[in-house]
Amino acid sequence: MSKIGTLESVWRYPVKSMRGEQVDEVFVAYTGVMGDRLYAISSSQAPPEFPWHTNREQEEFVLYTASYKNHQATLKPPAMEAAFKEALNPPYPLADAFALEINTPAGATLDVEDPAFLASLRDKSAGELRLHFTQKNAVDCRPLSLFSRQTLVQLEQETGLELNKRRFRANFYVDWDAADGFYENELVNQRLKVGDRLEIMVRELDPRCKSITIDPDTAATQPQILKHIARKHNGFAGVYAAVLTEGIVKPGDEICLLD
Amino acid sequence: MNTNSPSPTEITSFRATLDGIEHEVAYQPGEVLLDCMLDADLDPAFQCQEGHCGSCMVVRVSGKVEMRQNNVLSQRDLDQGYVLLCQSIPLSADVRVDCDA
Repeated sequence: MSKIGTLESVWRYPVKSMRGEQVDEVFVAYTGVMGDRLYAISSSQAPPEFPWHTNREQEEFVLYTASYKNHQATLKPPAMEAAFKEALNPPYPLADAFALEINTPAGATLDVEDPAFLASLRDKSAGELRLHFTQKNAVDCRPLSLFSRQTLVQLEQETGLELNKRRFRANFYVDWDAADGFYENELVNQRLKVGDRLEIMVRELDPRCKSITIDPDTAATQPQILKHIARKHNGFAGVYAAVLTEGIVKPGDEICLLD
Repeated sequence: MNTNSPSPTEITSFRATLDGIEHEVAYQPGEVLLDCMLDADLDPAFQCQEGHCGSCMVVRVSGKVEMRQNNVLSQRDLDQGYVLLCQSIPLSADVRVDCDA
């Protein structure tokens, strides 16, 4: 087992496509980071295989901030240690532990189930919008996404653009010890250990879409970054991973190559 | 389609600016703009070719196009003139797109 990097920060996105939140220490389940993308908005206009109303249709979605009302309860399953001792999958708390409130760009604070929340989105959508809740994380492809500081630096150098890493909406931002940008591409099908217990397998490259063109602080779009990645990196930046062994992670955790 | 629009067979080319250079690109009836640019050995950005990633979004500078489908551009994008190369077919003979925008 060799150390190849460090976990720089951990992020989750309580509502798919909305602003994410950085967390200090969090449980990572087989389904992904606890509390990640448990809520999503669906649109009757969207295709059935991807029914979500996202920041692609409404760029300002990234300016909505979602916060769990009981933040601490959403970081770690209550019986995690006991479950680990018995080699069990720690059960999540009941759904009401994930009660959520939304701060809108207009300055309102709304319960996620308040009809006024969906109403605030409707003028940007031709379809009927509905709120979805799931405890199995409404991720696009795989439970975890990783993106490295080195890849961000390389993209900035290649494009001449100053890029906020939050454009890339990763769960794990990582810092490789001695590697260039896009090193994570070489880790596909490799097993990594993060922190004391979490084991993951990098499964595939992350195909990028319009979401990364959206400035996370202003919602202005900059298509050049997506076009650059399409032309120079075959459309991929960052990687997706599957979880092999659940665990707790925190910034500063070592990342080790297991194979 | 507007009855004053040329028939598809009358549209023989369109113009595309890529990396600061404007190209006249031969148009084959029934093809989307992206395929015509690739046939001309140009290398515009693209990825999914299904109208949902947005990598080939370009600004329509003039002319009319129709997108077969659009699962990624917002109303704001459309209002700014963005179209998808991989889904667009020209409806007029004066189509110009800016791939650098």
